[in-house]
Amino acid sequence: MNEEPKTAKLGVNAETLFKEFREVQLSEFFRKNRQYLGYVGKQKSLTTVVHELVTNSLDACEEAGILPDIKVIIKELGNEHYKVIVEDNGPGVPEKHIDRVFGQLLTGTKFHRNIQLRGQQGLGVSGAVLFSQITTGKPTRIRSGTGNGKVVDAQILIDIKTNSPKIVEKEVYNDMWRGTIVESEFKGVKYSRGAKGPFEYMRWTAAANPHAQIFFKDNTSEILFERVVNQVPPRPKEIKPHPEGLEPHDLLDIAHSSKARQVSSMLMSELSRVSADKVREIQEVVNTDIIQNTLKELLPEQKISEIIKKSNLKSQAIKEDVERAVREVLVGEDQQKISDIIRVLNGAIFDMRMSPKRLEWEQAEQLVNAFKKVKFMAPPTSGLIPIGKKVIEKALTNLLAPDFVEAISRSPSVYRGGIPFLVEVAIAYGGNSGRETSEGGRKVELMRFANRAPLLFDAGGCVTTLAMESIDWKRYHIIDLESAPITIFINLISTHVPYTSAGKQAIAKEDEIYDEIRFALMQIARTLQKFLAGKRRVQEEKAKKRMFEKYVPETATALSKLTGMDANEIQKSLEKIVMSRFSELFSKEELQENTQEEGAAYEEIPEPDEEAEE
Amino acid sequence: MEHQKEIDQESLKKINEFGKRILEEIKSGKSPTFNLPLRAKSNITFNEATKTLELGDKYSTRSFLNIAHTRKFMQSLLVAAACKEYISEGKTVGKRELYYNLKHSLPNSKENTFEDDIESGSVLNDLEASLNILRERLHVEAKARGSIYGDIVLSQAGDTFDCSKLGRGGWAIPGYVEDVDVVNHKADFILAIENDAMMSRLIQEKIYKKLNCLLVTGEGMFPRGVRRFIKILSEKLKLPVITFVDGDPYGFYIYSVLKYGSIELAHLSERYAVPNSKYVGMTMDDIDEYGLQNVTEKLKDVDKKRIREEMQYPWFKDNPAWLRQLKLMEQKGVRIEQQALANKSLDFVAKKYLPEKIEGQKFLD
Repeated sequence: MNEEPKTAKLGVNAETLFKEFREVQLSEFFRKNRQYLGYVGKQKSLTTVVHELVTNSLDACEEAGILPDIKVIIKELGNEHYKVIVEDNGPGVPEKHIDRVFGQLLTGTKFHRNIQLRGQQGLGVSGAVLFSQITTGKPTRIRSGTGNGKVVDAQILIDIKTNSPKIVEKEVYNDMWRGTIVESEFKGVKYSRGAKGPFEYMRWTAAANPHAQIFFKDNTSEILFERVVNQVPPRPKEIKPHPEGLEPHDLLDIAHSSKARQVSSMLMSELSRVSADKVREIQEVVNTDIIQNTLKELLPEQKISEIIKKSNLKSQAIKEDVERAVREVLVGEDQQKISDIIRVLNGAIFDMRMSPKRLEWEQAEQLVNAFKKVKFMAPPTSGLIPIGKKVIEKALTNLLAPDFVEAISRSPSVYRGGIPFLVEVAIAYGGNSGRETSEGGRKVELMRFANRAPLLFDAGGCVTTLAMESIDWKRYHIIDLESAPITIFINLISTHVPYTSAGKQAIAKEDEIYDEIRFALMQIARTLQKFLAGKRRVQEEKAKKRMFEKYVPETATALSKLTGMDANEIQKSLEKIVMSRFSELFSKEELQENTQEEGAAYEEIPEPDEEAEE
Repeated sequence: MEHQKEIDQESLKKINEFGKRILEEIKSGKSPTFNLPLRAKSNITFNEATKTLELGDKYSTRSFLNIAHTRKFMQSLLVAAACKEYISEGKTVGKRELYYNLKHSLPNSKENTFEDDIESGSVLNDLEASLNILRERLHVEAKARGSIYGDIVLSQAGDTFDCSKLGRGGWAIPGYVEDVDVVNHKADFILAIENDAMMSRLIQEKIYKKLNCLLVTGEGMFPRGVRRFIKILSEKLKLPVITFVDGDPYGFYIYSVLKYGSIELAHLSERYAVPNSKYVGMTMDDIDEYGLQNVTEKLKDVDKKRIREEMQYPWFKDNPAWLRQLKLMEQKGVRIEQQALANKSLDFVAKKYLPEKIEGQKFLD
């Protein structure tokens, strides 16, 4: 973990952060197709706005090594008309970048980096600015300070035709304040405190980001989710794609945008776990296939094998070497035939020295096939930054005050052969766990996250939901999961989250991810089962103790009448006997002080029949 | 008969010992307990020699710190303490009186010490078994039911009375008969009658003079007072007992309880069972013998079930005469009541039926 103190020095210069943005002409397209930005439905649109602004704030803070302090205020201005204000204490945006950051639809470096980051819904903050503008016609107000003494207060619009920022008003004044406030109005949206609204979004954000302090305010109430850990998570490292996780089109993209001069160096520099040895191995595998396919109509099987055997397919000068082998094997045969074969082979052989820019689909396909036959080391997982077992447990304890909580942060693993991921799963039981029903009871709540970002929509097809539903909860004494006071927390950490659709709200059912989640759920469920059994035992014991105590006074009085002994004395002795019978209970009780009576969501364990023979 | 004072002293001693033992357990820091003989089929045997039901030596332990026992434990002590008081003050209470006397709510609870007289009755039975004292000796009376009529002079509680000079009824047998004394009598046997209307008929027909017997009825199932009273009379006066009940499974059962004892009171068989009783009627053979075919009644399903059970009774299953009766009843599918004899004539039972059978010694044993 990052050991930096709370007031961290800026890890990255704000100037350099914004240099990397690459411009994409998108404004016109997205004005007409706002659903691609996640602005679908009145409720979801507002949640998307909050998501974009908060994600942006958290990312900015973390990249700068700052413990995030986020304020979200939602004001109802009229019917389906709201103002959203999101404030952070992040590094701020330098004045000269403000117009482009907020007033131009950009695709940032994130789109091309293999790094664990909170996924953007659409195009980030500028998408929200555009959405505000097309529903209200008003500019978005940005105030930002980098802590260097200047604060910018600007009103920004996007010129949709040209996708360029339009500063309506701008004022610069002197202040040491650091941070950013985005203030924007939206129409045709709807705020609700319900399951899929901004409040829930922020509550979940607090659960997965306990290093952030989050203040939330709407028209009726305000709430502060306090910071639970005083450490900024370490910044995830970029992990180069692993060969086994690639599809031909991925490889083509990488090759065509690579600065390497040769395919061999491109593979080594752009992919992980590809060494010079591995490149030679790939060359051998690719070309073995090529030679076989090329010659199979022209030569008998045995001759082809001989040629392959005699060639050094790992050689840098592969074409020359193969030519030598052909001549050796076919010595004495018709010269014309030999020349033809060499000519055909020369055209077919894949030379790793070729330029990656000229790589074609078929070749990419041959390479990807070869990747599957070569054994690579598993991809590095050092770039994955989990929240961590302890931190999740702390966060959920703070948020839910549960009777039981346990988290598991699984070791990294790989799906589709080459994409690193890890899952973090937690179960909280009792207290404020679960979701409150309209009848005042509790029902199960599944908190889903991708790289710490809440997934509020499309729960149905999500791998997390499928994994949860696949568990036979009855085996763990949770008879009716649906109506249990349980919160299940699942966070998928990956350099590439396999969403089911462009909506980015559900994670696809990759077998490896599914299995990891299931495994973690079952492991925690076993502990929960023990807890519930213990809790139940304590309750039973308490009830028994009350029973005994109820009958003590009458028994003492009667025995006093029978024996003439003082009733009080008998009562005291009897009480002592009862107490000593439950001495074990009291030591347990100290450990579980918060134990409360709960509904019967867990199995009734029948009272053992102590009556011997009656 | 024992003197009441001595009886009381012995009862008090047992109760005091019971309390003292429990107190000692409490003082030594143990969960207090007491044992009671297990009154279940598994712990009951039929003693072929004495011809009575006997309780085995299995017992169960009531422990205060056993959640299933705690309430009963408290109740047992309450009843024991109350009995001690009754004995000391020379008072005798009825079963229901005991219940009302002890019923109150527990401190800080809506729960009562006893919810009904079934609860207090069952605790009384337990205590009786545990202390091995008759409830009558604990000064709790069984409900009085039944009466005696005949040439016998009895005394109780300072009163002396002639049981042949009590008008049309007899002397109502009280629940507590331990202190009844026989002043004198003139009888050869005791006729134990199920039905009180039949008793009334026999009194009117003066059968006690004709056959020289004492008439006793329990008005249905013989209550404890009546059983104990018959037992005392038959033992002290060396009189045989002849049972006259309905010819049905219930009548057979009344006879069997009188003669051998019952499961519930197996621990008291020696004080209640009258092994020398004989059965005079009604029998299945009487139906044809006396032409009673028209006044039988059909057996119900419960009766048929009862027949099957009684065939398994140790004292019936190896007794060919009784097995024959049970099988006959099953075959005929009918039962015959005592009063069916009135079909012949009202005095048929006294003039013909009983004299003929008793003088002819036509008994089932």
